[in-house]
Amino acid sequence: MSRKSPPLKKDARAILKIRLVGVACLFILFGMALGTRLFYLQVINHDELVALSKKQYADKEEIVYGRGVIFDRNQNTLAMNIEVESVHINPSRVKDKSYTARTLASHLNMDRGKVFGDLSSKQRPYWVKRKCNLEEVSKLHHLDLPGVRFISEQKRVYPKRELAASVTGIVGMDDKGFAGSEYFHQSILKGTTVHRVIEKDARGRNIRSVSELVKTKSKSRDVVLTIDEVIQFIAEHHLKKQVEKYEADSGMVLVMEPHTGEMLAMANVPQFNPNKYQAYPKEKRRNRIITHSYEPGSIFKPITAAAALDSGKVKSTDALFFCENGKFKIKSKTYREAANHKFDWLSLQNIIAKSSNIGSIKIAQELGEKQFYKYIRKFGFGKKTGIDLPGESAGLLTRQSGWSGLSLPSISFGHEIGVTPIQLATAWSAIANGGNLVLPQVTKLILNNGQVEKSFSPKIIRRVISEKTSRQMIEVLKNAVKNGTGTPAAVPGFETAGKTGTAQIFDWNSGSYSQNKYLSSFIGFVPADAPKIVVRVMIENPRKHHWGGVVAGPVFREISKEVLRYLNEPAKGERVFFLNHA
Amino acid sequence: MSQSNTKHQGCDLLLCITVAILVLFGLVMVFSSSAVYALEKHHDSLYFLKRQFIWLVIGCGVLWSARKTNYHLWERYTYPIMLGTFVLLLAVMFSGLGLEGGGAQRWLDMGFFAFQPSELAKFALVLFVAKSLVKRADKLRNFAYGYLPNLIVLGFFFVPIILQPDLGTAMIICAVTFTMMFVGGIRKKFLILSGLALIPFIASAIFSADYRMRRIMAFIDPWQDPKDAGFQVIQSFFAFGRGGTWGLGIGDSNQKLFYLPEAHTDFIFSVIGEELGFVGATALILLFFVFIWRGLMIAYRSRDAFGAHLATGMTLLIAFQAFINMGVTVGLLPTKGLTLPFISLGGSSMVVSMLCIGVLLNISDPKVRSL
Repeated sequence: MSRKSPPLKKDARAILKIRLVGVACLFILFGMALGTRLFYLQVINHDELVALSKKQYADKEEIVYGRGVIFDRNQNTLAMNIEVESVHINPSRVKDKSYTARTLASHLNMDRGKVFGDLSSKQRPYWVKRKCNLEEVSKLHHLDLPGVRFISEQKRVYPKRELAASVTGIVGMDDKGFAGSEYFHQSILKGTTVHRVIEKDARGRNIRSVSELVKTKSKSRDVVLTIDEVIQFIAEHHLKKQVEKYEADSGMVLVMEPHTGEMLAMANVPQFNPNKYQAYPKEKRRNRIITHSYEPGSIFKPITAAAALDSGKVKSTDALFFCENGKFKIKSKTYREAANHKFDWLSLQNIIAKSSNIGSIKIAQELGEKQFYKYIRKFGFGKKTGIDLPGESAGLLTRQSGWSGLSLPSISFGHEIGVTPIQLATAWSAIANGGNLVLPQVTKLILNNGQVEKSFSPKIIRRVISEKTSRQMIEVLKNAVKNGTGTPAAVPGFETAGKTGTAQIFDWNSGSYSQNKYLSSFIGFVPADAPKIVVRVMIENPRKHHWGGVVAGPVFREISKEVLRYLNEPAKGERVFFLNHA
Repeated sequence: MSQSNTKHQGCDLLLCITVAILVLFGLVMVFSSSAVYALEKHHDSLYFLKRQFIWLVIGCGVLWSARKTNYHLWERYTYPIMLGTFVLLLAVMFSGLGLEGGGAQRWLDMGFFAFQPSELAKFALVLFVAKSLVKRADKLRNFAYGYLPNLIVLGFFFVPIILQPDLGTAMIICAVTFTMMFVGGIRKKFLILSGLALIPFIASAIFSADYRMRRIMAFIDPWQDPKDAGFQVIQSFFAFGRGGTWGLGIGDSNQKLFYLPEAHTDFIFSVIGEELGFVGATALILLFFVFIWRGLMIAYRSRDAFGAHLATGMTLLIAFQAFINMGVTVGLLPTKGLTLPFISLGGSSMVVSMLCIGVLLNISDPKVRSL
């Protein structure tokens, strides 16, 4: 069909060569232009272009997803994440500013003037409202407003609302914890941070949802607390009831396992809802069990007694002390008993039971300043307990070298010393558990993808008193509940050890003790001879009534009763049936 | 010719090696530039790599077949191939089989894959021009008999392609045809004059389509409109700039993530520039030089005129496309929708490029006899 193509002749090949070289030259020129251009862009202009490109990366927003879950000790969820959407806007792409502002404000429940003001004044893209619930946003989706984007994010939620809020803590908009365990374990809980380009995509490519991201590369680490949500609920319930009944300013309850130092409940009233924490003043969100120190008052007396017994300066709980008939002058100061009681001779046991101030002074005087101070320190006062929560206070304790002649007598019954509830409970745990100071802990486990990565075993810090002293003190404190001021706290069916306290609140403004503001306290442990729980109750400024035994005692009783039942602790005379839960 | 008989026992080995390096490098870069996008769009970071690999396997098959096909057969079947390609081009426009993408209708739906007939059209046109230059060898200085037929056939391909619209491919077929005619010996006066005559048509094509006008304006000053028309070029500049001399390392391009559109197709050279730096980008240009050198050598050494013109055409097809693509990414030329041969993702481009290589290898084989 086609002609046989003729072989190239020599002269034709020569012409071909010249022309092919011409073509090659064309490409060499082209290539040189390319190379020059590349050199200009990549070597000469390198720095300038890098700087310019960085500027556009600034349009990325940081989004955090997959923050770890916080569980209670039985792995009930206390803090988790849900999917929400945030509204982002690029003012330069908005066509009708007033319409856009009006629409956004009405759907997102925002102030129209403010939305319009922002939209008019801002040049760069910004968040209109972050972490809106999906209903708010779903209608906006359909409107397809130019310049408005929706970014899928995760929001921290606390499904149990107020429950254990002061322990669990809260996170900010950027998903960084700033209180409680959320803060303390930020490095463990922190999710994955992605830099998401919000504006750059000129074609409006779909934005991945966060849940997809979580599925693709989730490496969450979760925190399991020692808190038991049932015990926490019991504590909060009874505390709240009493605070309301006595119209008190506030109250707190702490339930602790005395042998391991595990915190089973930490209740603060008034409560706050961490899901809308902004609505509460900062002071209300504090976990005052660890952040505030108070003058403990009478509940400090057993510490004085335990120190005296353990040092050997006081041989037995029956040792008698002369209580000066209710008036004891040291230097310029006259010490009196509460409610103008007048005691003559009291045994150590009765000094605690009757809560004699002068008796406590006498016991401390037996010890001497040096020994007394040493024991106070040994019990952990004047120093942070080291609990794994942020913001702990060390309390207030003057060094022994700075003591005035009045320090020893005042401290002996719990004045002139600032103590946090957690310090006191830890010291009392040492009395209850046979003499060891334990490290109080609220974190039980750290889980990595559901597997235990780290478990926090109980830590004994040091021995404070001997086992013998511990046993003696348990008897003393049992007696204080049975025959002393603590009777309303007695838990039916259980031997109860404890001590009441009623302190006048020191008014820092006037520099003196308030005449009508009281701190009603009770601290105790049950069952007294093999303690399961140490419970510290504190009610601040109750009206109507202020005696610790009357106000705080019943809270202790009710909480202990229910917690012991929950823990399947058999009461005396109770027939026990073990149910096989399997 | 006697020289080539003794020295070269088989086909051009250096060309084979160059192409092998190019396609393997292409696979790496397709994966690097598409993985994140693929994961986002198809939930599989290997999505595009797998597809490109399949196309490469098909391309190798095509290359092998073309290598084994006596190139004189192409001369014999030029007209049927041209006609078939022309029908396919019309099918894209008029039948329901045409697929749209990126604002243009360029693809033909073949059921399980989409084919771009304009890629095949380039090949068919080269066949025609090569055959025409041989057939009219003694009338080349005559305008009506030597020059005009080529121009008319070029027009037949040019019109449907520019209507798709695919300005890039249209420019390439013009460039290839005119260069082939220059090599073939058409009077330079004709070429220059027709080049001048084309100017009004090109101008009207640019001014008639708004997006072309914006692209040209963006080419002249991309910073005028950095958000829209100039966006691609500026992002490409950023990519090259960030790469610097040595590059950020394979896989470390930031621009490809969200900023650079078509990072795995039209702007893959920018990703190469960012990840491998000036050194890597220059090395790639040099590889294409090796290719051009081997291609033109095959043309020069070809035993007959058809082989010479065919080899020139095949080389020019790939060379023009490669250099225009790279020129666009560095801002030397206005933006077009052209892929980088062997490197970019794209099935039709890969298969036709491999076909060209197969033909070149066959021409380079001294054992091939004329029919």
